[in-house]
Amino acid sequence: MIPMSHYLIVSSILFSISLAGIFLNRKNIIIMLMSLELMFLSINFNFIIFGNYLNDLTGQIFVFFILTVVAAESAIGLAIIVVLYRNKQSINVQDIARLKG
Amino acid sequence: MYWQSMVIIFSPLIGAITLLFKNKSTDFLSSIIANSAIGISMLLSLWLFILYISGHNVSESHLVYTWYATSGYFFEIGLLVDSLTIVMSFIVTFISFFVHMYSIAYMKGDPSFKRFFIYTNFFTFSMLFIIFSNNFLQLFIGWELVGLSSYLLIGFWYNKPSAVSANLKAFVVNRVGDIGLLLGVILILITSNSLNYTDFFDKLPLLKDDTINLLGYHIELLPFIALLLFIGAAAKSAQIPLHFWLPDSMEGPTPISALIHAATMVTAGIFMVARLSPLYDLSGYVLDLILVIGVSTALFMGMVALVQNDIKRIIAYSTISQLGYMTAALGASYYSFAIYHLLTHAFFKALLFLCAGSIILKCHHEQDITKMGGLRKIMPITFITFFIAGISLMGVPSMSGFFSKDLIIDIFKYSDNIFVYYSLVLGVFITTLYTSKIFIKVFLGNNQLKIKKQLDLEHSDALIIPLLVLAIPSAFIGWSLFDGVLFNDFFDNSITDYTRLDQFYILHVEHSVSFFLHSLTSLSFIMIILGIVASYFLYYKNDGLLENISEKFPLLRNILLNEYGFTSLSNKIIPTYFKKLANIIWMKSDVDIIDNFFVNGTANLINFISSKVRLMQTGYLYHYAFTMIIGLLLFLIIFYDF
Repeated sequence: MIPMSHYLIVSSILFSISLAGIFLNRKNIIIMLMSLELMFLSINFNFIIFGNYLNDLTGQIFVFFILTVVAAESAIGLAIIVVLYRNKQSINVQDIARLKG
Repeated sequence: MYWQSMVIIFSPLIGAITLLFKNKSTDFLSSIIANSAIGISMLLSLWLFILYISGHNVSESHLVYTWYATSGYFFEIGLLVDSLTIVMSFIVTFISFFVHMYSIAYMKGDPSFKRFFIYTNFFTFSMLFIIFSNNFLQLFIGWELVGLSSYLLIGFWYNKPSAVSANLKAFVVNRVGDIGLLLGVILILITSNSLNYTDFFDKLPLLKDDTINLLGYHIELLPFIALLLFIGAAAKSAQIPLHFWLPDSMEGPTPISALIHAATMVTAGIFMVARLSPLYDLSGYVLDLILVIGVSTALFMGMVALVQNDIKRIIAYSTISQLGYMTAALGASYYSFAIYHLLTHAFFKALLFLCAGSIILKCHHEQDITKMGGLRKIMPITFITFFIAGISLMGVPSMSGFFSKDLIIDIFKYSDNIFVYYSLVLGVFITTLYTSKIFIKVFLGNNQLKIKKQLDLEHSDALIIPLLVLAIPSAFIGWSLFDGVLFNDFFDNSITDYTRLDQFYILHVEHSVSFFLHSLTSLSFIMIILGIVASYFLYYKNDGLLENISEKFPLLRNILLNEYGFTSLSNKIIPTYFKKLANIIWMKSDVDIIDNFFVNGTANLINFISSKVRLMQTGYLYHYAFTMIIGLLLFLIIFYDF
């Protein structure tokens, strides 16, 4: 049986990649949204692992709820991006800095 | 006497209020309302006065209204009717009535005719409010109200810059005196727990040896109170060094100069000291100070009148000088003599001012007497009345002014203060000089202004009648009241000096006739004759004697023109330094501390801090995300129990 630490390492690598995707990406806001999805998935992965390990179905059921919320959230995020593109003719992250003090 | 007194006081106030709220009123109607309001007061005062002279002795105090009462202190409005009140209310209402009558003609055609009568009616009310008061609070209220009416009337022609600066000066100088008066009244309240005159006088024996602690020095209480109150009196009665507002107050209409700045308001200080005679009897060195101030005012301010050429200013300086005589009598504790001189002075000085008003009207508002001349034939009635008032002012025997002024001079003749006696006698010489100067320059000589004689009377009746009426008391009231009134325990229930007066009468006066005959050989009579002779050579014969004298003593002339430095003090030094001080306060405290430090400083500080803090807001999404993650990690590191 594969030890649990392996799963956890995969999950944390996934999380770190998505984090880096948010920080380092300076071009495309859609990639940022994708990184966000990836971050959710890595967390879901953790839920499943612990649920399996502890013989508790709650973790896996919880993943369904999270996925539902994530789907809704990404739908809203994409809608915002569409509106943003209509207004600014750009989805470049560096162009979106209107909150600069 | 209660209802009569109430009507006397409040009739002028009702007149003023009626005029104030009567929007559409012709000049004729306004003058009728104002004059009848004063007329009622005048008739009732005259009635009280005659009643009192004929032996109806009265001294009563009434409580009219309790304003408020708090833990042992009572603030009340009351009435005190006694001999002093009756005499003063007679003077005030009598002169006020005839000045009102005179003003109908004098102020004719003025756009603010109604306003003038509102002010004068209000003034008369305020003055009567002081006179009838039986407590210090009411005295103070009235004191402020007469100051206000004086301010309003000096600046009556408010688009004349000189009038506005003159009323400001009068107000500011009087404020200095008011501080003294207010402090005195407060001190009386906290030491005797009562503001009532009689309560305070009853407590005087207990307070006699009290001292108060002022900055570590123990000062006797009663002289200190007397001194503070006298500061108020000196400002109101134009005594050195607070006198310099009075000559400037001549910017107001001439009837006002007659009413307020000669006969009534400026005598309020004299009246107050006489009213508080029990206090001043116990105040030792303050009396000496009052005497010194009075004598120096009488002499030095008279001398200033010699170099003036404006007819109203000469009479104004003469008023200050005569008030100095009254103050000197107060300083010698002969309060009744001061009130007696106040009485006669009020009549002849009001008459002099009203004559001056007629002359000014006739000369088309020319006030420089060196440009006038030869008005004797053109204005015969003014000529005669001015002559009567003038010789009364000089103190020619048998005139009113003679009896009152020579009594004051004789106080010092028979005391050790021989220096004061000679100063006052010299004052008589100077009085004669400037009075004859006006007389000669205005009525004799050439008709320089080419004024034509009219066929009818010299002026309308309203201008003539007050002159004729006031000429009667100017000539006769002195003698007629001398034996029967002044030396017949007249003031014995209001002023404390009657034992002194009795002794003085028995020793030096004996009877008015002997006083009259005796004075014909006195030094002051010689001084009057000398003065007339000197003025004949100086002012009548145009042989350049006066010019020679003034060229030989340019320093003296400049000192007198500069009024011993008071002119430059009040017009240059005080305003300049006050402006500098105000500038410093403005720049340092207002601009620097309040504006720049507190108001703008707070805003600037916030602006500075936010300009630094603002740099953290880059607006880039990835920066915010990074901060969030780093923050989360930091929290983990700090709070996670490894």
